Amino acid sequence: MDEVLPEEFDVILIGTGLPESVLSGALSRIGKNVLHVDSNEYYGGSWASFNIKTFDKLMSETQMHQEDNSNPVNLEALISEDEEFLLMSASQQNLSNCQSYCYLSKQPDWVVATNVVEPNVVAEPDEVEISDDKDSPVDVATTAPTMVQKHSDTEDLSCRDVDFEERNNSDNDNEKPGVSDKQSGDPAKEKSTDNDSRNGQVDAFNNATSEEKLENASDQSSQADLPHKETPLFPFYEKFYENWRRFNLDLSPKVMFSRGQLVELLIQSNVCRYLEFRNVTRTLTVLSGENRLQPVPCSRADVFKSKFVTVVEKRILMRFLTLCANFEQHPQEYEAYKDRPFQDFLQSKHLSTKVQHFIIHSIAMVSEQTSTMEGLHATQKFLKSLGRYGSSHAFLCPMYGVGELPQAFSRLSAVFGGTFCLRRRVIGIVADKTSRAVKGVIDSTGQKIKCQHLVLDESHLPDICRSGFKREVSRAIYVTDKSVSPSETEEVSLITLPPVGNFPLYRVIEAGPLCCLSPNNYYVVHALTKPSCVDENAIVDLKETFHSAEKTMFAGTAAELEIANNNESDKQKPAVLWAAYFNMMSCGVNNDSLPGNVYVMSSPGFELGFDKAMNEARRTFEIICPDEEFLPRAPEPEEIVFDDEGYKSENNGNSRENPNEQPEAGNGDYMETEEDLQEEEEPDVQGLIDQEQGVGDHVSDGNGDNA
Amino acid sequence: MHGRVKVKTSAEQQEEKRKERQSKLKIFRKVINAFFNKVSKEEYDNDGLEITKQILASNSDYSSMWNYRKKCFANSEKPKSEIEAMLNSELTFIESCLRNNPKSYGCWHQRCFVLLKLKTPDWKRELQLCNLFLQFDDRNFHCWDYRRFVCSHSNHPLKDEIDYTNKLIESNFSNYSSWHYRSKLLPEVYPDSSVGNKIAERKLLEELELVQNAFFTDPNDQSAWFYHKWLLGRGHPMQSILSLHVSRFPSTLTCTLRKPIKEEDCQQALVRVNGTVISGKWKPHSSACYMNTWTFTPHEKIGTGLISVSCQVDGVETQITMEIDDNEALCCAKNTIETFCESSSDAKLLVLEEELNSCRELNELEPDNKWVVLTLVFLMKAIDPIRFFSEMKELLKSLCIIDSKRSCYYQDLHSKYAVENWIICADLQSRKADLRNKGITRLCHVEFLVGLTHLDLSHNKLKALGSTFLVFPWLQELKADDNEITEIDGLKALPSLITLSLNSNALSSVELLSCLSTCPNLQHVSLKSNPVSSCEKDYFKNFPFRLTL
Amino acid sequence: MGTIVKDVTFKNDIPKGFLSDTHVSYISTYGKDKDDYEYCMTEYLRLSGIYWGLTTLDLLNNLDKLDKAEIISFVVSCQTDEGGFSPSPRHDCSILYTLSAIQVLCTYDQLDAIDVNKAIKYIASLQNEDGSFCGDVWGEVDTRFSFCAVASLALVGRLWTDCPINTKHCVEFIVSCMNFDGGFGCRPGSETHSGQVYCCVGALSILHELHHIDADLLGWWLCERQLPSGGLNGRPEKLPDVCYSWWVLSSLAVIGKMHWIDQESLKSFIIASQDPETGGIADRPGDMVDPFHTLFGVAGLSLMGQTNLKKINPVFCMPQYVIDRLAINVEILTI
Repeated sequence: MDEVLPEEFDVILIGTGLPESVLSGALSRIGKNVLHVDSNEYYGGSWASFNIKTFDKLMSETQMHQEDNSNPVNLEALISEDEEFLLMSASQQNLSNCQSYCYLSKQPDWVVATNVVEPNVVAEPDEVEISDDKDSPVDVATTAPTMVQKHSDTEDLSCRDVDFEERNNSDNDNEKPGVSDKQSGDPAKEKSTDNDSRNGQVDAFNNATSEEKLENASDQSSQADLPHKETPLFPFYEKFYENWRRFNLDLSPKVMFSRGQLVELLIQSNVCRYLEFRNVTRTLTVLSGENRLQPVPCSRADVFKSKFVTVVEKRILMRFLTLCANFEQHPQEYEAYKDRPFQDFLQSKHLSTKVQHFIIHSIAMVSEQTSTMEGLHATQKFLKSLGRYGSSHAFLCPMYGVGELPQAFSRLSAVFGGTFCLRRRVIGIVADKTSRAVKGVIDSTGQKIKCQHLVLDESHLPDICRSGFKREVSRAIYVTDKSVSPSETEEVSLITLPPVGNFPLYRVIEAGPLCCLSPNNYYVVHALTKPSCVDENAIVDLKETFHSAEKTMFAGTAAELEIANNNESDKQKPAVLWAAYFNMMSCGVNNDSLPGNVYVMSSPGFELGFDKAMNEARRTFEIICPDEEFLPRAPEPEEIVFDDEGYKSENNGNSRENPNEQPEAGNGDYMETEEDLQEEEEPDVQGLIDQEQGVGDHVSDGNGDNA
Repeated sequence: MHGRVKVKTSAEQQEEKRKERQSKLKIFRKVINAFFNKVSKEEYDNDGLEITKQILASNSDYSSMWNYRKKCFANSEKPKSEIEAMLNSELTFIESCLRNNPKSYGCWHQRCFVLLKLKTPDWKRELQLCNLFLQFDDRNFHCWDYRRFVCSHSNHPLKDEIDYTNKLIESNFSNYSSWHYRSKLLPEVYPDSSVGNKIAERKLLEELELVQNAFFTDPNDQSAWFYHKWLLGRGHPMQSILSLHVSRFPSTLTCTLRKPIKEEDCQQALVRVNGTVISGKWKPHSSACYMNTWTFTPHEKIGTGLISVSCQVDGVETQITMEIDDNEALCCAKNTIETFCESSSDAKLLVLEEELNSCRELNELEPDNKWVVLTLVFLMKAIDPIRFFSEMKELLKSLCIIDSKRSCYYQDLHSKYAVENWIICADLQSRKADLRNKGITRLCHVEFLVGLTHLDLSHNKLKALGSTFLVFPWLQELKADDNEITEIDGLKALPSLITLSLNSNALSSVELLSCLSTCPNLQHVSLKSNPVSSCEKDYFKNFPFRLTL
Repeated sequence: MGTIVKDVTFKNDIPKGFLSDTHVSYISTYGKDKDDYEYCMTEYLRLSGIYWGLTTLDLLNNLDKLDKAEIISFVVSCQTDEGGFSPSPRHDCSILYTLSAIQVLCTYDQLDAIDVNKAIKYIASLQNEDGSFCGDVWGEVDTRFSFCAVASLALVGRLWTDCPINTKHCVEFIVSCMNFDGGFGCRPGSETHSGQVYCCVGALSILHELHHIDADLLGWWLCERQLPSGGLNGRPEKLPDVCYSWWVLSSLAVIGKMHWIDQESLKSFIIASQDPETGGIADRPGDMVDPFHTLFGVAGLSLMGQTNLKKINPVFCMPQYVIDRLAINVEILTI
């Protein structure tokens, strides 16, 4: 880690979160000389995804880096008269109130006897790797990028194939150990990330286990006097952790609007070739006064199917959605309500309260008080995304977790020559006293690196540039034993739990093995809500905060249910096997004290999609290089091959093997398809289809009735 | 710059295409000749299979080549196992052709041919293929037909096919092919126990709900409405004898049926006087081979008493009986609402009433949606055409404006309902019909009116008195004043017609009237205020009847 | 969210009037260049192509533009030993081209140029037990072939006098292909398709068996084929196409419901589908023209009373004068 970097870069980026990574990719792509550092030992910052052991560790530590200041840097030597130095805070910690719990009981001895083998199988390779990365963790991390530079192309090709094949297996073959290690493409970078993180994981394992012992203490007693069961209700603690590597738990779970900026960017830049996606297959909500999740009819097909609305409601809903799809053309419809609450507008359109609920909370995903204009735009945004990939789906989510996204863009950056440095801490920013423009940074090794532009993620801000921490998002993550609303096929669900009484609104994303977020038979449930109190120091029991969400979705924790000993009440609902709670912090920027040419990327925030982050990256790019194109297509000839590759992954979620093969998708859900196919650079496909409709039909009669 | 993919100009492409085509043509001709060589030498070998592949791969309509391949499999002396292998590889080849042209008759038939040749055809695989191609295009009727072929040969349970259509309809209900398939499957799987319905009522009601969901979700999709009409509407009306006319001097018996029949069927009809069958001959009322009205001349005179005619047409026995003590008498079968629409159980009526109400709501939401309006009419017709008539009339009027392209259809539809309602209520035995001011554009169901002596069609919108008028043997007075009549070629050889009134119509030329001179008893024709009235008087002088102009 | 009506909109540069002369030159020059790609590629349906072109020119009062002798000898050269006709010499014969051959010869009043009895035997040999017809010896069954058989026999005058086929079963099969919408498909169970409707209605009309049809129901389905552009499609939710202006319109004419569509807008659709440069008519405005669509466009206009066109017979799609000369009377419903 301590080896010497070049003296100067065009741009230095600190933090490998999504906006920084996109920016890094965009800059390298057009030939800027980029240094991208992260004090963490993993990629993604607040956007990262972790396996479950690492997550336990993360939760158990109050601070991520007790980075020693053992060898204090001699600043005097580095900073000249006309320069000022802004010290960065020692900690980039932006999580608070972290807790994680495992509700599973330890394996009694009589079981151990029967299956000792498996844990070892998994354990084995780790130890090996740990030992050898103890020798030279540094090299791996730093040599990685250079290596990439040398043979980026071939590197690319080969690993893409491996990568892809691997994933396909991983879908059906669940016993494959460490499949998640294969998640990001570039093996060089790859090795670096997971050696580093694995290194962490092992400590984590030790801490965690001791941790858990405490956590479970309360349960132990109860389990002690449980009747000796041949088939316990839930897997044992050890069994659960066997597949620890196959969990990918997001710090900041989000979904992509199929027509959101991120998707367009992934296609345009062809970064999608590094990624795979799944459709969000359903939208659920709870109607006020009810305690049962029910599907929200979002698309034409959903509405047709829905059993929860009357035929007349169906029509009114469809009429309304059709209006929203291109409301600009019908100002007379909404003029009067422009600035009034969206709900008033919905009422004026005779939408039943139920349908209003669907639109406000699950389709527009706004609140009753949102202005009509905002509501209309939100609804339209949803409808635009609908049907692009699968007639009744509007959202995509990346397989292996959101953490894949920053990595994919970082990889693009590396492929185009960006230099990457993990576990490299920048201790401060050097700026010109008079012009106040940034001149460079000084890292913990005492090296001074020059740059024209500096990009920071919020959490790396120097203290004096912060306007103070506040809680931005309260999070809960649950691992459960079944879906919150089981169905024949595995679903990926987006759930909105509107505010009830003094409980807040929750947004929930549930996914499982299908998205490679968990091993088979487990589901991961991400819940987000706005913190009840934003003061960073206040003590809040997040379990309390999420109480009503938990009551709606779950039967209870595994431990509770063991005691309750399968009472029939909520047999349908899943049990919580593992849970984690934390707040994500955000600090405002104090622009006055911020040097020029320094750009701050904000934290993931509460937003469900990625547009905010994308905008930030794009805007910053346009400032740094005004006349350049933002992430144009990569030039390699073999792109053509990749192209339809990217494609497949694009459409991974829907059963169709190739999106071209949706001639009628137009009426599947609606006008988009044609346009779509063109975007996918297959304009002639649509043509071909039309032809078939015409010709096909008459050639038939053609030969026929030459009467 | 930055390696954006270069797009060719269409001009370049065209030139390229032309060049490509020239070379293509050369090759094409070479292959074709090679092919016909094979044929003339009657060589059916792998070589020939390869040659034909080259053409068929791109042009799968070249039927002679498919035939050649068929011959190869048929004639080949090769061992069975080898043939089996050839056939299997043919399936692969056909599939690749279908990918290029999924609507090729040749390909699909070749596949049927091969499947039937195979000793152990893998029908499951074929069904998979259908699923694939229907996923690609769920309206490809070739593939649908092939699917039915596969199902019938593999005894694939029809119930599964219903589930398949469910699946398709759920993912996209504007899929006419799927609805069509249901209309074939349901009567098979859920046959109707009672009379009237097409499918078991329980299922019928389910279907009504399903299709209602479809057209409420999207009222602009035709498929659902057509299917709904089918669920409502009756099949073909049952055959029945509508009327029997007996005259004793001369002894003739004239019988009119709902549906036209052929002579051989008619000769089977039995005539009984007071229970005893009497012999005689049936004659069609006119030259056409199918007729509704037939006249029976008995060998002996008909006396008074009970007269009955019974005949059996396509398995349906129908009969009519009447008392005769006079010289002449007409007996008409009683008509009810059920004469013109399906009888509905209370359960069904309840559902229809509910649907009517939700459609009314829908109509308020979208007053200009023609499908909703038309379906309102169909529902009312099915529930009670008499009670709702005035409302139906208004709705049809509005349709003529909303959907002007088809206004004539709506007018004709109204005319039909108007006449039907009149028939239901009228006393046909009185033999006088007053159909004035009905706003009708056509006169349908004439078979019910055969017995008439007086018919008044004045103040309507008739455009022509066509061949349908040939069926009135006893019609003495026909009034059709104040219509839009331009043609009267149907008024030929009406045996009993005495007075004809066609005032205020659009008859333009004297030639149009020529047919009238073939009516033997016609005495007076009134043509006031027609364009023709203004013609020189002497144009009309050689007509055998008195003209009022 | 809703159904988008599949239809076309006219550009401004569409032709206004009926371009009779350009069509004459298009057809009369078509196939002059024996090396033309399109021409060579359509060898497998040449005989039908000739029927399309010849009928078009006759309707346009320009039959003499074609070399009668050449055509007749070509037709003769297409009759195979089986008695049927192939699209071109050396190809296999089928009932499709057998009808085309007979139509061409009837128009030229030259039936005796071929062995009619052999052709009749061939047609009769293709009927199955259930009354259906195969297209050729290989056994593909389709109502199109029923029409070809019935029409051919009517044209050669063998339908009513010693008829070689079982017309009763023939009718029964056709009726067994009727659907919930009153229309017809290729085989029992097949979805309704305008082309097939034309064939079945035509066959029943020639056989005077139209009473099997629910004219109001079928007429409704047919008139719903008309789209806002005025053009007609072949099935619900499909694009309009000039050839359907014929198959739908003529079917409507036979069941006496032609007034159920807006003929004016249909005319303008066909007019708009003309190509002023090359002549000829395409499937829809702006597309490439071909003889097939040219015939059905012209035929449609003739049926709608376009002036200076010969009157067309809706069932045979041949000039009415030919049908009169053969003293064939088809059944046409009036209400």
